[in-house]
Amino acid sequence: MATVTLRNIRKSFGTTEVLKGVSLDIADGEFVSLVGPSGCGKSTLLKILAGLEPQNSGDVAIGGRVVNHIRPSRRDLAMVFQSYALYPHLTVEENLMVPLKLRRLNRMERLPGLGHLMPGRRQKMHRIRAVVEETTETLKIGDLLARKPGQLSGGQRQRVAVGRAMVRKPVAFLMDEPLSNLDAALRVHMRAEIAELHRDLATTFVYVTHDQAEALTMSDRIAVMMDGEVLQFASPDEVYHDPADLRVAQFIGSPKMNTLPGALGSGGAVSTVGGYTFARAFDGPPQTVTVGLRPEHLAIAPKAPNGRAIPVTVRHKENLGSDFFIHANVGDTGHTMIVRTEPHTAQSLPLQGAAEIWSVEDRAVVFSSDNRRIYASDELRGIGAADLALAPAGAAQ
Amino acid sequence: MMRSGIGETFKHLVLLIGVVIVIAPFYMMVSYSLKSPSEIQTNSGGFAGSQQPFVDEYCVKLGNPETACTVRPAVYNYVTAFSKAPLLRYLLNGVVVTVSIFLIQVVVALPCAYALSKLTFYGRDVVFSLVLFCLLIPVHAIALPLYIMLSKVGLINSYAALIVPWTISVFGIFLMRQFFLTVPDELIDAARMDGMSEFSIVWRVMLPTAVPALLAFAIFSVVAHWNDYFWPRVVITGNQDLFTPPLGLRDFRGDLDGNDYGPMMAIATVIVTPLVVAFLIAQRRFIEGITLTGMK
Ligand SMILES: Nc1ncnc2c1ncn2[C@@H]1O[C@H](COP(=O)(O)OP(=O)(O)OP(=O)(O)O)[C@@H](O)[C@H]1O
Ligand SMILES: [Mg+2]
Repeated sequence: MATVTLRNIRKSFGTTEVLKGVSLDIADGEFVSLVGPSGCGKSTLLKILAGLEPQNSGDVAIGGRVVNHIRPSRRDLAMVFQSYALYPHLTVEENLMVPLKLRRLNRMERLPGLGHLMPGRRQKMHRIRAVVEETTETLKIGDLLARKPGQLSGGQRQRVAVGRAMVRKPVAFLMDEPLSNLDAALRVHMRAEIAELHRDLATTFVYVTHDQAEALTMSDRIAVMMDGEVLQFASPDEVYHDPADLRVAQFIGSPKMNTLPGALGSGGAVSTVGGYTFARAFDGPPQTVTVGLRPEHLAIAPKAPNGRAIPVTVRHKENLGSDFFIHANVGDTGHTMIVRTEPHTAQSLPLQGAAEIWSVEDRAVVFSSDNRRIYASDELRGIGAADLALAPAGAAQ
Repeated sequence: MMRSGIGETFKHLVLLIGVVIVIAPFYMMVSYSLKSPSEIQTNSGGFAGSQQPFVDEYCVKLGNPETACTVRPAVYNYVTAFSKAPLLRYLLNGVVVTVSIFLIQVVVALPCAYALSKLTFYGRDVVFSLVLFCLLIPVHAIALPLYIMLSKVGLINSYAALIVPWTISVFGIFLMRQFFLTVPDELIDAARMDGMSEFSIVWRVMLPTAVPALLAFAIFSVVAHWNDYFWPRVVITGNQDLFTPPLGLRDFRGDLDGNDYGPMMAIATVIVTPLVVAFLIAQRRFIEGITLTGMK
């Protein structure tokens, strides 16, 4: 158990800068996800943290101790790899014992054959077996011990890989997309299991994923990375409701946040396509902006109740059972919007028919042309929108 | 249907002809090793000969009674083979030399291949180019300098002379490097996280995963050095105790009057047998190895 601190980490491969000064402060026992699109440097950052790849500059500290020049095995971290990286020639039991043997047996005791003669080895092996047994019980893989990795299913391999990380009782777990090789149902199940494991072990977890849903469901905090930078490092609610950067807003959330071009007028009024103007005032000089609207913060109907709406044409209705996602084109501007609505509203909207979209409670996130957030005057910065989401409807106005 | 039937027949015909061409010498070798001299000369008796006892004239010449010199052809051929030449000694030499060469080649090639495929260091590509370059040097071109160097250090006529020049196999390094490139980096990272040294990674992780490639390399290496006639001929001058099987065969041929094919073929059969048996065994392991990696 330990805090993990990354301070201004930079890394280049050849001339391409992959990490451009990444800093993260991870608290003891925290579950942190690194999330971002493919190639943004998540795995590289994790490898630097593990000591498998040297950084060009910056510090890595674990439990307050700077470990820049300390070997991976001495950092007392455990890692679960995307491909699981189990030793293919060893059985599950042997795979689980390898990290313990390397740590607890000395060089002589590890010798094949001769090692068995060393005094004290039996007791140590006994204790190692006990730890392995305990772990296999926790992960329910007791009946797989004699098998080789090649004879396991994807989910079973994943468990064994987690087990190999667990047996060492590391101060922190590093996981690099451990669920990406599993099918959808199993992935959801393993998500819950890993979250539970984190609660039980109360150890620091650093979890890499490119799946924003995974990050939102499992983490205490999410670091959203893009192009080698951390754009935002905050709780899932905050990242979702109060994105600090347009790219964060677009990456987090499924379906994606609607983004429309807009303008910030001199009085702080923001207007967007179709002449739609938001009722709240935003802080900032007049400029062109991007307006972000979450599908669930929008409403759609053949006719808007108060007349203030964006006229659209319904293109496609996506039925999720409990909800519908309506895909609609904004006039002939070429912009598409996605709105979440109830099934009975969706039924009243004919395909290719005209409809109107408006913003419930004027919940819009506005970004300047350099992707930075522009806050509304009545909005608390940083944590504001997260609280807003939890507040009863209507309180925001 | 008909056309493809004819096509299949034709294919099989061609393959069968190929098989006959390849098998014929072996067939003759084994067959002659079982027959009596007269059967060999008249080309009669089928594959195994009639196994009619015949009188060994050499034995009679030595003054023995004819009854004591009546022998069965197959027994005669193999007994002569083993008694006239220290065949077991040759075979043992062959085993010592080929096994030593192969083991040392592996000990050298695996760490080299690991470094060339999985470690990044300054000049790695240059080193690898040198390896490729060395692949192009023919053995015969450097035989003389090698011989001179070995004789300067007084190693001619020793096992060392047979073994040392072959211990660094650039082909082995090249082959293993290509194989190691296919081993995922994550496996090595996992081993490092578990606390293995680079040295243990080579022997405890890379070696077990590389068994199929090593077997392929073993086939090349063992066959080449078991059958090598050129190099032993160069560095073993006269000391019969160090003869490898091919040298022994040549020596035996020199000893016999030209047409005693039976015993000679018996020797040839004995020399070939270990290889054939080894590869029948290895073949099974080989397929196992391939299926193992296939399952990942
Ligand atoms: N050893 C390497 N040599 C050169 N470039 C590398 C190396 N490793 C990674 N890169 C580059 O660094 C960038 C970041 O790679 P990284 O593996 O960290 O991405 P990632 O965020 O983990 O992506 P993914 O979600 O696809 O796993 C990529 O552009 C990649 O091409
Ligand atoms: Mg990655």
